[in-house]
Amino acid sequence: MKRSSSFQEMTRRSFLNSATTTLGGLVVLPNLISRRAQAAPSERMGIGVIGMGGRGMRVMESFLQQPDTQVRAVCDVYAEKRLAAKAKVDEFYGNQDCTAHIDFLEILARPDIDSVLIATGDNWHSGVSLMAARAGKDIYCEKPMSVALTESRAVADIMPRLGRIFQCGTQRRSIANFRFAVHLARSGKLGQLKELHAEEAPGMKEIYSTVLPEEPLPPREVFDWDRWLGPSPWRPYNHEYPTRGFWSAHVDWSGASITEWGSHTVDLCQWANNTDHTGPTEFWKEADRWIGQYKDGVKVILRNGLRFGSCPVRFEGEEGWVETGDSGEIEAYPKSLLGNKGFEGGYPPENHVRAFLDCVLTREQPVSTAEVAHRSISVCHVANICKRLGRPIKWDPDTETCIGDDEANRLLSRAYRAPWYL
Amino acid sequence: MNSVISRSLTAIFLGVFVGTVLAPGLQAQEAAPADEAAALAVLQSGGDWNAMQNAFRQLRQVGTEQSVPVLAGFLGNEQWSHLAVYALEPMPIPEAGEALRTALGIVGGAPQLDIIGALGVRRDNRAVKALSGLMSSDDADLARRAAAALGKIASGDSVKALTQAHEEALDPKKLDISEALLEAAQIQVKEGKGRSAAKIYQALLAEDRPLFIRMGAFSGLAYADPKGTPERLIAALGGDGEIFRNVAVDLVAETSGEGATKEYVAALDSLEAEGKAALIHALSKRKDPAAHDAILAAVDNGEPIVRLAAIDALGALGTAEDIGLLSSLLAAGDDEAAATARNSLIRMESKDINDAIAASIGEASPAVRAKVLEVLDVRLAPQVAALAAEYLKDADADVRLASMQVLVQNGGAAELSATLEALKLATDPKENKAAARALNGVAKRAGETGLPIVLPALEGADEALKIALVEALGQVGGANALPPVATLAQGPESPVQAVALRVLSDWPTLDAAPTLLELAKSTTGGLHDAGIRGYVRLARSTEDAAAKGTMLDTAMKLANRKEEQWLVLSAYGTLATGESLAALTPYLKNAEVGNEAALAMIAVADAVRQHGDAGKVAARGALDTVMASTQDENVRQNAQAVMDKMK
Repeated sequence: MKRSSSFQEMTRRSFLNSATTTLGGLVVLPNLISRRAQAAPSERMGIGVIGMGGRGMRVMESFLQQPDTQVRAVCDVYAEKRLAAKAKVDEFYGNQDCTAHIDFLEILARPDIDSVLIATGDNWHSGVSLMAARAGKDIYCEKPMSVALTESRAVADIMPRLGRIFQCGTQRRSIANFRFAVHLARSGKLGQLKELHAEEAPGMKEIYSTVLPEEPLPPREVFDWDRWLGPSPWRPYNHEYPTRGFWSAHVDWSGASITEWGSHTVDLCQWANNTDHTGPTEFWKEADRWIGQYKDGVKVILRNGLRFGSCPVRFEGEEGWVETGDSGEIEAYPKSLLGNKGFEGGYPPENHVRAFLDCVLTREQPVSTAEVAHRSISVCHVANICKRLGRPIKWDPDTETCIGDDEANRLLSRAYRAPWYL
Repeated sequence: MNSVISRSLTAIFLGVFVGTVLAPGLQAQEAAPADEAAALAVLQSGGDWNAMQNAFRQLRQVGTEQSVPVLAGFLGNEQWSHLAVYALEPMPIPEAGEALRTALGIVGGAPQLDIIGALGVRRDNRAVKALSGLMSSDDADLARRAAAALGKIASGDSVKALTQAHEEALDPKKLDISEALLEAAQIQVKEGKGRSAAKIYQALLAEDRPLFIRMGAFSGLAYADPKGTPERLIAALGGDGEIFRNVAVDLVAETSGEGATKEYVAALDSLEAEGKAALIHALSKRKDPAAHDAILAAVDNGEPIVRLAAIDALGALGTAEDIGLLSSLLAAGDDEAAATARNSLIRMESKDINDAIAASIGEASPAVRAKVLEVLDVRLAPQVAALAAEYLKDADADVRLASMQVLVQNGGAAELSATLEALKLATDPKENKAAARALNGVAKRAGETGLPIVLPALEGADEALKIALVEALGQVGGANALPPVATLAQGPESPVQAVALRVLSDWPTLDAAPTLLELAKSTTGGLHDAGIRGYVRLARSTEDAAAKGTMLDTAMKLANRKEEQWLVLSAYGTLATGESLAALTPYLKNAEVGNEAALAMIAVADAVRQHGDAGKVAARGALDTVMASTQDENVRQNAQAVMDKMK
């Protein structure tokens, strides 16, 4: 496959390298199948991977397996992780060509990188996405999209503004059992929807703001603390902070159980409810559940106790219900809704990654756009604010503000630390 | 996936968090309720780093005008400036903006960039003049940040400043300003200032601007100036730029506008094939029924790309009246059209579609009938089972096969007689096999209600039919289906006896346990093997711990060969009790089955360790015993892994 000239012309960086682009120079692209075909490495879509923890390594495998991509660069603030990632890529291609970076800006500056996979900690998802969009890259970004609501709003706005393709790593939108459950809800087979149940990640700590004792800073080449902190407020280093188990419930860097799984499960509820471009209007707590109610009375319920492995959801309507999760098991009432359906378990990203790459080629929008993922994580953020303040919230999904609650509104944003900006 | 694996998946996931949230000895600190006076006291008197940073965070949440002067005092401070901005940025009071504007002209470096960002987020129109001046800075970062902030402010003043700077600047600074103008226009559209935004977009659409800027402007203009949108999108659809055509497809789908669909439909004839296909695709995504007739007409278009786009679009816009047309395409000899029509039939959503598809089968050719049945199957249409039963008698073999395939997963008691009749009539081996599979599926769903039909059929059945019926009885299970299978299994050797023995060994319900136990006691090899295998399988599957223990103890006594002992020992691994551990221990030093006993004990230990302190004690004891007795390094590692989970 020859990378089309129009594809390269899409980026800001290539414009800067050759500022003579006009529409007249465009060629008619071949069909998608031929675009996917195996190509020489130099002709493939160049991929940069930013964030080489467990998730980054796993999703990178999906990019490696594609016939029309070439992973050209990896980046991590941890030396150990970025070198392991480079070794993996080099072993896959049988060469030493993959470059390893501490600073993701070096990847964004490269004209041979067309798209980036962002698999950093939650703290960086929006910030790197914004920088990548400004650099003209298309983006596959892991969930959750943001730590504060206004961050992902900025990401959702910048993508259409700069013509970028963005796919959030909410890959359950590309997995058969979840798609089928959503189909049942959207096609009216459950009747008028009443309740959408979304599992929170069980076993996580409540959001905390713990401060740990200062420790000597490692050399930047071993671990770049300032780059790890990114847009969040600076604090003295402690080796515990950047561990997954610590940061995932810390107020500066994540939204704990609600955003951890809610970014998937609420996302599926939003999809099932055909509310991808809006959200609930009221939030409150009921027993140990967090409720968001849409203006038509449908409720999204963040809770624990659903069945079928991780990230389960349950959609209830007036005429039936369906429940499924990562085990692939699915139950419904009436049973006839399931027919002969059977599904494999697991939550592999392969289909979602391929769908993203196809959209990069065709410029059609993927299923998990920045706007869609932002709306889903918005529900989680407002639920978290409701939880933090200990009071119900009235929410205006059009203006994305809490009605009559300035204190809550202040928690929707966080001021980025220079040099990063929204 | 079964529930055990399901639970395991969850457990694996939980391990990520439960095991690593906080290091030992650390206490999670929840944020205290915000208190402005207390926070101000800390900032004014000074405190350690933790107290200070916490005070800034509290003021971010509840600070009033009283806090502003104190916070302003930290702006420009190397250590605290960002946290002061962090607190001031979201404050909905003018004093906060004034403090930031004042500091903007005084501080430099990163603190200045923080302040510029905050003024942009606050959309502070009174900062426009100062920010405009900064756009001319030689410091590229500073100039870019100032432009970005002006874009966010998106006022008449800020747009004027950006526009002027845009005219004077050269790339790359010009690009930064272009992006800022795009953001300003996007915000203005959201605020209903479409006319102002449209001017910005029109200027950015100039030929010398880079493609991605023009694309952004092209998209934005569709929302800023909806009146002119259809004309522009139609022009783009008919143009030779694929990217703009694709963007236009999405915009046709997303932008509203009363009557716009009519404009798009009217334009269809004016477009060349590619543009026409793109517009049809766009109309299908737009989902306005007003486009239906035009799309239906395009199915007859001579250009294949247009025809396929129209067939595909009927999946979104088609009605029950289009079913006949789409069904006829399923077997019209054009593979692409057939695949597209099939996909459209599956996607169509209105409530009367299933009935219409089912009704279309009566008039259809045999090839179409088979495909229609398959479509209804995929659609999970409730009427598909009854329809398939009806077409089991079709004159065409493909239709009969399609019907049987449908019944495998959909048929129930109501279809049992017809399926059995079809099996009796199926002489072709392929069809006979398909009918037997259908009978299995139908019998399973019919359950015991099907026995009055299945059991009498055994009388006088030939060998092939008898085998199929025995298999079907195995699907039904239960006490009432068991006797004839048990009798056949213990009869003289024959193909039917062999199948009956296998079916008996796989019997799904505990009713077969006594029969299987008797077989296990047999000295005849085949009977004994099937008996003990089936008996242990049932023991493994039962959730009654006491019954399971008794069955396994009995099975162990009957297990003659080491392979049989392996089977039983492995099943003990599913019994998480002390009795299970006691039963396994004597076998640990047995050279032939020691490893299996050890692995089962490890599995039991892994389960009982989750049952409180007593469970942990029992688990540790079992694992110590295993490690003391085994010489196998793999077994030792497995035991250690479970031991590690208890640390």
